[in-house]
Amino acid sequence: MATITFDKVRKVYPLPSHPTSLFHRRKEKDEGEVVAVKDFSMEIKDNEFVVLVGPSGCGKSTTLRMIAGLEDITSGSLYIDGVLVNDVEPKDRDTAMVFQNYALYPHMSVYDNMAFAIRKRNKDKAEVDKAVREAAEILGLTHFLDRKPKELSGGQRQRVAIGRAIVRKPKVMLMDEPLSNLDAKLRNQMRSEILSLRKRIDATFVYVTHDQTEAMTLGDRIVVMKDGEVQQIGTPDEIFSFPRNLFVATFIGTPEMNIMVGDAVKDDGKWFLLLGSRRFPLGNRFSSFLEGKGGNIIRVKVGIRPEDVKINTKEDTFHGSVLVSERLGSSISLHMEWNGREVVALTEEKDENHVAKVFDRDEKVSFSFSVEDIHLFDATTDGNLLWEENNG
Amino acid sequence: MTHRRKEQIEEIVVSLVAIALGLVIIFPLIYCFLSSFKTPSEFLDPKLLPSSFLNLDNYKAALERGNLLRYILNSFVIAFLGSAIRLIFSILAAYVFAFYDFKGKNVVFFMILGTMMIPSDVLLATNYLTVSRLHLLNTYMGVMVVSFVSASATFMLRQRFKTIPRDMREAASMDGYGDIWFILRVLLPITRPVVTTLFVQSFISLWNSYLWPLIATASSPEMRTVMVGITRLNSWEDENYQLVMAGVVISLIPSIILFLIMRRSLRKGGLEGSLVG
Repeated sequence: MATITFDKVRKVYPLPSHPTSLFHRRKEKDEGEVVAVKDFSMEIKDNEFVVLVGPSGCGKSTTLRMIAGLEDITSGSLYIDGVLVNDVEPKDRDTAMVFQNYALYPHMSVYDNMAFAIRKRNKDKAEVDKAVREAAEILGLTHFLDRKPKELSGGQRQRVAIGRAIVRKPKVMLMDEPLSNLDAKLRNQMRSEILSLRKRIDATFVYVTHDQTEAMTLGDRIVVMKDGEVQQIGTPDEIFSFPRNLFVATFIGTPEMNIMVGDAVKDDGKWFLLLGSRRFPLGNRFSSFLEGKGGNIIRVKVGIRPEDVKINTKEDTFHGSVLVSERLGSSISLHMEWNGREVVALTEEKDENHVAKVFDRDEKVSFSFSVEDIHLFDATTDGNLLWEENNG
Repeated sequence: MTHRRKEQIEEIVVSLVAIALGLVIIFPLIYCFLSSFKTPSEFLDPKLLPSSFLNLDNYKAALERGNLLRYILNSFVIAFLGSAIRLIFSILAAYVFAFYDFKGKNVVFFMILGTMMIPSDVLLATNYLTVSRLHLLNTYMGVMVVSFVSASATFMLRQRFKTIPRDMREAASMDGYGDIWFILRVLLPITRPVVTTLFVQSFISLWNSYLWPLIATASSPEMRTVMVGITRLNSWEDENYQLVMAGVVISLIPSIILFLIMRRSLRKGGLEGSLVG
């Protein structure tokens, strides 16, 4: 168990030198650089499960590798349990890592793979044996201890990789997209195993993924990153229902949030949302912020989650035509065209056979949503208006 | 003619050509082996087979007169130690080129590769001057030192090491194993086939080398290597070729034994199962 504190941690890579630069001196000087992580500040609590999530190249893996000590920190400070670890060797940090491609030692048996990590620290054979067998028991690997990695399935290899990490009983468990190479079914299974593992071992978890479902199901807190910058840190609930900006809003949630452009208009002392040809009264929720903006017309981006879009209800507001209708099992993801944009709704409307109803292409449909469910974003900064109001 | 029949004929022709080529290559060895049992008069006879395979006089003479056992020991020390040290240097250099990033890495690497284009004979004179100034002439070190660094072995190992994912080294470093431990416990066991091949290759080439050992041990007959020693067999008694043949057969034995021992570890190792997929 351990706390991890980031204080304005920054990682800058020099631009990779071009292979031809050996013989052809490049015209401009090699002074370009790539900022992989920008001023990352955060406190990870003891025993917490934090998920770093974001698209490829957002700096989440780099952040994880900086905790492990595999990547130098360009500036800022990183503390584990209050101790500054910027210059501490990976082996002295008491962290363990599960690598995306497992990185098992191919010439060693499962037992040796798991024992390798503790043999260096603990010379007592009986203790090593006990630790390995305990970890194998937790992960259901007892029968595979004599096998070589090549004799195992993908899921089993993944387990060995996790076993190798937990056998050391580290203070911090780092996981770098550990499930990304498994098929969908196995991934779901391993996800719940990681959840139960987490309850059985005392460690602070930092988990990197680009899969928002993993992030939502595993994390106590989620850190959404983009281009090396933290977009939002919060519990899965906070991130989902209160996204700080347009990026977080669209990145988290499937299908992704619908974004429409509209205007907030003040009329007779009250604020309304103009969307297409419709006008909705905006409750007190938004008014105070909109007042602060100044002016009577403010351009906004309106976000509405597909599950909050209702189809063919009594208070139909908008009329669109069906583009695609995807069956997702019990529900249908309905892509409609409205006002030149695509709007997606998640509907569970059943047909006469009690099967989710599939719509035909170009079928006319009407849809509506409640103003209570919308998210309003500043049209220029993409920030959530309410977030700015509450968190200034 | 059917397609299948055509294929069969093709196969037979290719096999025959291969066998013929093989015979051409192995014939000198067979001739050498057979001649080593011949008496001086038989040797001049065009007959291929000796009258008796029990005639070991040539072997006795070669061992006694030529001090061949001492030469074999010299060759063994030089080939074994030389190859071991060469591999240690190559492994360390290849490791750095494969796993570390530093400025000018490629330039240095290409410079090392560039040395492969310099013929070794060109270096004979400078090497001789260097070694003599180091007072290493007529010593094992003097014979070995010029072959401690091998660009081709470094290159081969680097290529192999580059196929080992860096994650594996990082995993080892988090497990508490530094570079040397990683090399010994993980990298070498995985790449054993390449390392063994390079060792055998290097051993045989050092065992067979002639010109440099001849020059480096010119003034000290007891430091000669076996290849140099064998050629001297001929001068003991003029045109005593069957003696040389016996010497050659003796000198081949260590290389063959080494090959047979190492062959077992030349089996395919590789990375199976370490990674995804």
